[in-house]
Amino acid sequence: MRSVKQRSRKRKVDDFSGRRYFVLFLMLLAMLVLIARAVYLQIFDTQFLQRQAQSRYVSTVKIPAYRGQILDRHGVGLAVSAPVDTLWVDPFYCQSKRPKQAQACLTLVSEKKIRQVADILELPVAKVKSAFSRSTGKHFVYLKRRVEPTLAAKVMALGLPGVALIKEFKRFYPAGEVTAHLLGFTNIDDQGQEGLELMYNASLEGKTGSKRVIRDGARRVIEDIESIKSAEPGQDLVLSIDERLQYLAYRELKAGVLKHKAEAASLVILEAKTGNILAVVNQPAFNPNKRKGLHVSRYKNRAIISTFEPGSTLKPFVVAAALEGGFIDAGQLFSTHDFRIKGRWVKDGHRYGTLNLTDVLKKSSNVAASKIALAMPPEYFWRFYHALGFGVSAGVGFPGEATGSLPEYDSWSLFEQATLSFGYRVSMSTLQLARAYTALADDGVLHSVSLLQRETDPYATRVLSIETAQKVRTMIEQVVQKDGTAYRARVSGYRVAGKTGTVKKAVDGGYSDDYLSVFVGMAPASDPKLIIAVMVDAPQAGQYYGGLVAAPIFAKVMGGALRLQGITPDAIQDTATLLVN
Amino acid sequence: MIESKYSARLLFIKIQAAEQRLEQLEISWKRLIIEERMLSDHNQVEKSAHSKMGLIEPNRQAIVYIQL
Repeated sequence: MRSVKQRSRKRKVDDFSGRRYFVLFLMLLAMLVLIARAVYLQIFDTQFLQRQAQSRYVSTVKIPAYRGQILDRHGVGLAVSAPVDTLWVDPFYCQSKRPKQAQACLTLVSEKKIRQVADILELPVAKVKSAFSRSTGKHFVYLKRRVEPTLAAKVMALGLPGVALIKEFKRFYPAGEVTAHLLGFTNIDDQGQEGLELMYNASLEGKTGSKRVIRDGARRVIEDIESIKSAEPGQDLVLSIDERLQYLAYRELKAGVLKHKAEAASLVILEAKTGNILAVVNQPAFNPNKRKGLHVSRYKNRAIISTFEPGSTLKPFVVAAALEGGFIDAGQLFSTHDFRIKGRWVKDGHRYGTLNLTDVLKKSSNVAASKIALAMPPEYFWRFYHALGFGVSAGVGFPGEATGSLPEYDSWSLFEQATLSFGYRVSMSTLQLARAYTALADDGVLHSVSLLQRETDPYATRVLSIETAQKVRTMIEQVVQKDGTAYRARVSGYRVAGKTGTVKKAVDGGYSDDYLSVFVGMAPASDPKLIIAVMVDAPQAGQYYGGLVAAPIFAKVMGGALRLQGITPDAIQDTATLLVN
Repeated sequence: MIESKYSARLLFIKIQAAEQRLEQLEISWKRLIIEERMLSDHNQVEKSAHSKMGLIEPNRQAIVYIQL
């Protein structure tokens, strides 16, 4: 009995040790599994995990860059970028929280606050509501783009969940419509769309930088890790434009257009000795700061883009070409009876009888100008016009810049050669016309034109001798005398030289009943500093002569410009002068 | 190690404060530029010169030129 009992006890002990080993083995196995897992996570899977973690708290942030300013020659800002805030909403922001917090979070989006937001941003309440609605399934909805920073701060202060800011820049044009055509504008993504903004987009545009940051649970940046690319602001652009002259020109042109009920108009002021453009203005204009609902035709910088037939304003060049080539002499007389070329009449508006060269320009006789033109070989005449830049782009590089047209001399008929002398069959922009006058203003040197400030003109070319240029300039000084065609172009205190043009407006396949009224002039005539070209398109208020519509605008702008530029008067006899030694 | 980490954090806070200030100054600078341009708008200046101060442009005969 006893032995049996002992044996059975012994067997029981054996059983326990087996279980113990089994348990030990299991624990060892579990430990090994854990170690293996730890090794796997730490060594083999570590990159994947780190990346996953970083994607949750590290993010790349864009650093916006300033677009360069556009300045006038005196450093006055014409286009300035100001920081603005774009507000956006993530309607699902509350969903990403734990259920309990999400409920509390959602109650923060109250009707009252939505109303307040709509109030601050001047948006319809429905629009704000829809931005917060989750029905679209979007995680990113713009509330309003380009908001004043102060207003954006007010919205942020309401503490609406899911609302966030993006820093952006908005372009402001302080001079508004005065510089609208010239500068153009940018689109909502700050890219140049028209004018200089488009032309110099590459250099004006800043380079957006980026950096990596660590964010906390509320998506606030808590640490900069590294800068990937620093933001580079765009370069400033300094123009040759004088903002005061630009304003003056704009004001007078607008007044002129209103007075004469004209369809459109353009005006260019050039610095006579450098070809720098001091002002370019057009009508009709637009406000670049509020462009909604405007027709594209309003954006057109007519002075540079549109061409027209310049009419009699070319006559001084015909006289200059003929004098220069020795085809006429200064003392020659011209009879101005209407005459026919192969059955087509060349006529004057009035009977002038026999005229000397000065009176040909003073009275603007088409007949005499035609006779002078016909005295020249076509090739010589063409070369002269071509050298003045007719049919060639003025070369400022403005988007859509016109080249104009000048037919080749071998296709000219005699009649065409005659009409070219009084400015038909040849077309150009107001800028090209003003540019040609630099040849008369700077004693025979034709200048290139530029919208950028420069000290001297590197592309100046002589097209006339000094004597011829001065001779013709003296002749067109007579145009603004009492019995000339443009007495109203005079500026008291200064000697003015210029020429009128009244042109039938060319339309598809012929000429309309409308006229273009043109005047180009320079002052002070003894040593011209400024050239102004004015073109008024289709004045409807009765008057249409260049000397009555365009010339008074010229006189007002020129008078103001000479004063603003501080140019010494050269017609001292009609002003009081105090001599101080 | 702990100390350098701590001072880095302090510096970072300073940088952020400075950056924020820079941003604020930039915003107000640009706003001032624009405001200045609005106030010096030729149209406005001209209007107030004419109406408020009663200034006129003298005609040419009334101007005496001084030649030095």
